[in-house]
Amino acid sequence: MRLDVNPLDYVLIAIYFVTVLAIGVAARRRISSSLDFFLAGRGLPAWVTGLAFVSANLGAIEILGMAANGVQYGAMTVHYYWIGAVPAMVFLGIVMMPFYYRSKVRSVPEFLRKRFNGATQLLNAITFAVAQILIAGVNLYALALVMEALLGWPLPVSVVVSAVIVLAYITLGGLSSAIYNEVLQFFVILAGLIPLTVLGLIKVGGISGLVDKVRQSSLGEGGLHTWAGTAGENPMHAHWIGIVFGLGFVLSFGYWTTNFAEVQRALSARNTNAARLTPIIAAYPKLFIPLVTVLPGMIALVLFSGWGQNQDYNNAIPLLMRDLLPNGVLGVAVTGLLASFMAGMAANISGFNTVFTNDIWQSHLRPDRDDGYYVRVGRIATVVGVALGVGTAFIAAGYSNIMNYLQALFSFFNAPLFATFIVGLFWRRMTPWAGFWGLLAGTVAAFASYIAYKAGFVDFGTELNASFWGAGLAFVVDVVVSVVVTLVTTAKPVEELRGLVYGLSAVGLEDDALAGDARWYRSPVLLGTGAVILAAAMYGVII
Amino acid sequence: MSDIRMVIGGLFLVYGVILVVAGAFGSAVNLWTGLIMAVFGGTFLVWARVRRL
Repeated sequence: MRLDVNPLDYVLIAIYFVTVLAIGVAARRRISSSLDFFLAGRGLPAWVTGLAFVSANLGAIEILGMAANGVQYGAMTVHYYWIGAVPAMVFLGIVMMPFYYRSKVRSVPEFLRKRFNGATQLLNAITFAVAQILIAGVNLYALALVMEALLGWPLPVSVVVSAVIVLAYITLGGLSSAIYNEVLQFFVILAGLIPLTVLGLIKVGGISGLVDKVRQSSLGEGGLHTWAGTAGENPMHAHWIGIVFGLGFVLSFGYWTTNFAEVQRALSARNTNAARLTPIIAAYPKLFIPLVTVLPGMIALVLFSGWGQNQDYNNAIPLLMRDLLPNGVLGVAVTGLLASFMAGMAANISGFNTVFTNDIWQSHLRPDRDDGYYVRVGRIATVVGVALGVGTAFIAAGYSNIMNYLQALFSFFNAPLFATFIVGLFWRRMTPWAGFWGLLAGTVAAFASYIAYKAGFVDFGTELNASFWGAGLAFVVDVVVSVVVTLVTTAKPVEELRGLVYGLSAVGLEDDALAGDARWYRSPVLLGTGAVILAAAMYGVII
Repeated sequence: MSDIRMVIGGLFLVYGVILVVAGAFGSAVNLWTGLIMAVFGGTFLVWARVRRL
């Protein structure tokens, strides 16, 4: 599986890298405080933060993986985008973002400190920081594997070169440079995937040709539906209850509403309204991304054979690139893949450096230094984070199974955090130590259920069902422990909870609305409702 | 350079022109993709000029 890349393609790839580094250098000139470095000065418009929000989640593992799911499960894969993302993104924008943004916190763990206590903050900061490094390592390793297979680059070269580029632009320009690059990456990724999809569709004879051929494929009729078979047999072996509550509620709300690598993009917006619009603006492209990931997967299903035997599902997009794209557009598509790897890794690293500096170093180890000191710590944390990521990538190269386990584990790691947030936001009696013990118990439960599944003590059937149940269990354990601990410990005084819980608004906080925020196209509730309705309508097309 | 729209516009215009030139001597896929990318890039440049920060 080697792509026939020529000098023209390499020129296009090189132009992109020069642009990425130029953005880093340009962003550096505007950094004068730690707020600039970690939150882009809180001055970005909603369309920029919104596209960065999508892009941070549009890593190459995601793109190749969702195309692979398209081959394996067919149209049902869109559940990951529609019910599994859009409602949670809209909820984040409408309900949760005002708490995050208006409390002026710099990170999710810092919010936990304000609502609960320093111990809860530290617990979340450490698990988050470790997870981000491991995920960055997994990302780098995946990148190196793809580059080795497609372009013939030796594994260590890809790891080091891409790590150095990400390192360079984040150390230079901090979050602004990560965000600007994510916006650019978003468009480059699409520029590679759209021609691929269009040419693929032409080749299989349009939508009707694809439908006929999928029906005759190994997936059969089930590959063309999303809900129709979910009370009985379907390619995913998932029941609709599992999809709605497991994927649509626990997994999805856990990931989208509490994952700081995502929330950070919204915190860097210029005012409350722009922060609320960030995930909602992101929901619209998210609705259509399956057209360039799942759809090419289904095209690959009918164009190639041997899936799951001598053909790896993850090769769906690379195979289409090889057979459909001429040199030139091929270079753009390779650039898009490289860009998406970096988008994922940059999101992990910029989340890591903020949480390490703010929630571990400044809050618990070295408080009360001058601002410039923390910018320097942030830069050093970036270098150390990337170095650890590179180390993880090389370990992954030796034990690739461990990495698969980690990835699956982190997919439902956010479920207990979401439970703590929801109870803490809507129940003002919940005590600081209930926050800590609930989160700890939920996290341990997530771990335990996954290990029990892997060791064969319990049988959930498929990996997918294991993550639904693991996340659900972690959520319930977190809620129960939080309630029990609340009953035996003392609550925070109401005055300290202003602006942090539902129904207790902060006093003396000035309105930060800008001229034009009242217009209908800047209304979070209206646009959010629109996104949910659109998702439902799209399900109507392929029910 | 401080406006990301200029960077996006510039990159897509350059990519578009390169692909159109490559397409003129070869594949129609390059030509069409290049044209669309150039127009897209141009639109961003115009947007950045018309509505300045």
